[in-house]
Amino acid sequence: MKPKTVKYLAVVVLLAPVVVLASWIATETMVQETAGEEFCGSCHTMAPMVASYNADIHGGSHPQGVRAKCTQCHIPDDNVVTYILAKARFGIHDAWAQMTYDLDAIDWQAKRAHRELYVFDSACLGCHKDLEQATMAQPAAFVAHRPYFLGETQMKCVSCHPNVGHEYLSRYLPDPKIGDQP
Amino acid sequence: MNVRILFLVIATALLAPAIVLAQQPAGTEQVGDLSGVKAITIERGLTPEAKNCITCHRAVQPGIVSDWVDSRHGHVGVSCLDCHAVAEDSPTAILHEEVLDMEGYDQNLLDRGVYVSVLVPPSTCARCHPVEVEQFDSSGHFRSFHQIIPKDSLHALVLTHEGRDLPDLKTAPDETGCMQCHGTEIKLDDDGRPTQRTWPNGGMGNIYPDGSTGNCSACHTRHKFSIAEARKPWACASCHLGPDHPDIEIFENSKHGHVYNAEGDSWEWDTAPGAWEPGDYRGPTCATCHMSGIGELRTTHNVSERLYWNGWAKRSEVRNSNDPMSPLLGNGPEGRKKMKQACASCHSEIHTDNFFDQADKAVRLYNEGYYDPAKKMLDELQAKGLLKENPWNDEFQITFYHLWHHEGRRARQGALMGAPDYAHWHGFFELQQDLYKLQDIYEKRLESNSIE
Repeated sequence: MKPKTVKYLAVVVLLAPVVVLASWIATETMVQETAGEEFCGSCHTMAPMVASYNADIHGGSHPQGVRAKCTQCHIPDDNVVTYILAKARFGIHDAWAQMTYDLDAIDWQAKRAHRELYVFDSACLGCHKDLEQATMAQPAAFVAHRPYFLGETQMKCVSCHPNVGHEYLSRYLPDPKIGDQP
Repeated sequence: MNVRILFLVIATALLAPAIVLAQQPAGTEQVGDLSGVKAITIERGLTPEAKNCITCHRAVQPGIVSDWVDSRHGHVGVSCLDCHAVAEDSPTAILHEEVLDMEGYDQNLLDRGVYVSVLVPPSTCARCHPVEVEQFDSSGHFRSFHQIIPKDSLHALVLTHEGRDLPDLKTAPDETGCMQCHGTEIKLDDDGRPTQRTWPNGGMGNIYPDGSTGNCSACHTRHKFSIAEARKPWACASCHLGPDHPDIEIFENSKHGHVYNAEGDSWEWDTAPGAWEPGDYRGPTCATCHMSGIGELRTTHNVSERLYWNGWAKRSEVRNSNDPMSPLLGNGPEGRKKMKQACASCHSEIHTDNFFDQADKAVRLYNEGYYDPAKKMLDELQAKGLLKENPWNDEFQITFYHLWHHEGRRARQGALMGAPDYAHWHGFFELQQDLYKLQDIYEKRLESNSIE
C-alpha cells in the first residue's frame, strides 16, 4: 500500500466517526428544535392551535407541568423510518402551503372533521402505553376502550376525543362554524 | 283496663299518618317526588359534579334518575355527565344558570362552568359503543330521515295537502307524525337548546347538530337504555305498525307472535349479547331474527343485513348495494343465507326452504301480477295527460298508491313473516280489488279521453 493511500485511509477512519456524530447531532437537534409549539407557532396560521394547546392539559395547563410536543401527537410513531419520512413530508407540505396557499381561505373548523388524518394513534399510544391496563379499574373507561383494543372498531383516538390537546380551540379559530364535542 | 289500652294503641296507629303529614310544611309534597322517599347516595365511580346532577334531578325529574338507577349505565358508573357534558364551544352547550331560572334550587349543587347538552347524539354513544353505531350507519335505518329530504312530493303531501298550507300550522303533521318515527334535522335556538319545530322526537334518523345521524333511544328508550326492552317486539312496534307496514300486527298474526303472546312474560330477556339463544325464549321476536347473535350469527345493529328483498319498495327487488342511501341496500343472497341461519336454530332445512319458497312466490306474484300491470296503466295515462295534477284528489293515483304502499306491503311482508291474514285478507284480497278498480278507471279514461 502506498504511503499516500495509508494517509487517506487514516484520515477517513479518524474523520468518519466525527462526521457521523456531527450529522447525528445535527439531525437530532433539528428534529427536537422543530418539534414544539415555539417552532410550529412561528407561522401565524398556527397561533390558534398554540393558544388552545397552552390552555390544554397536554400543553400549558398540566398540573405537573408535563407537555407533549406538537410532533408527539401529529407525527406517526410506528418506527424511526416512518417517523422521519412523515416529518419530512409534513414539514415540506407546510412550508410550501405557507408560501403558496391563500392562508385566510383555509377553513380550519372544517378540517377538524378530518382530524383522524393528522393525529395518530401510534403517537397517542407512545405516551399512553398502558392505557389498556389502566382503564381496567374503571368500568366505564374499560367498556369504552375495549372495542378499540380488541380491534372491533375503525374509530381512532381522536374520533372520541375530538378536542384533545387543544382546549376550546373554537375560541381561537377565526370562523367558529362548527363547535366542539366533549 | 285492657280494652282501654287496646283502644289507645289502635287510635295512635290510626292517627300516626296524620301526625306525620301535619309535621310536613304545607305545599312541599309533590306527586312522584322520590326525594322524600328515597335518598340516593352513590360514592362509587362518580365525580362530585356527577353526584350533584343526581342529587338535584332526583327531586326535579325523579323518573329520569330512577331509570338511570335501574340501568346498566348506573351499574358501571356511567354518569349523566359522561353523556351530557360537552365542551364550552359546542353548539349545544348550555349553562344551567344562563338558560334556566335556578332560583329555588340548592345553589351548592349548581356547578357553574359545567356545560351540558340537552341532545345526546349517537356520536356520543359511539364513544363506548362504536361497533353498534358503525353497524347502524351501514343499515337502512340510517336513511330514515335522509331519504325524505329530496322527496318534494312527500313534502307537498305533508305541508300542502295535510297541513293545508296554513303558515303557522302546516308543519303540525310532520311534528306530530313523520318526524316522530323518521326523525328530522334538529335545529338549535340561540341558547343552544333544540327548537320546538324539531324536538322532542323519538325518530330513528335524526341528524344532530354535530352531523351524526341516528337515535339510539328510538329502540332503547331513555334513560334506561335497556337491552331487554329493545329485544321485545314493542320496541319496533312503535314505528312498524298501521296500514302501510303493519309489522307488529304481522308478528302477532304469526306463530312466532302466538308463542310470544302466550308465554313471553316468562322468558329470559337480558342475557348477554351473542348468548341470547333458544331456551332463553321459545319463539323469536323481531330482534332475534333481524339482529341477534343467534347460533353462529354475529349480533348486528344493521337491520338490513339479513334481508333478501326490499319488501317496502314499490316493486320488490333483490338487495344489491353497499350504499345505505340505496333502496337496494344489502346483499340479497348473503342476507337470505344469514336469515336461514337464524331459522336453523329451531327449524329443519326443509321447513325453512319451503317457507321462503312460499314467501318468495308471493313477492313475485305482487311484482308481476299487480305492480307491473298497474304501473303500465299509470305510465300510459300519464303519457296521455289523463292523470290529475293533484294526485291526492285522483282516484287512480290514490288507488295506485294504496296498491304498493299499503296493500302491496301488507301482502309481501305478511308472506315474508308468516302472517296469513295480512298476506291474504289485508293483502292479496285488497290487491285484486285495487287492480280491478284501476283497470275500470283506466278504461273509462281511455274511452272518453278525459278524467272523470
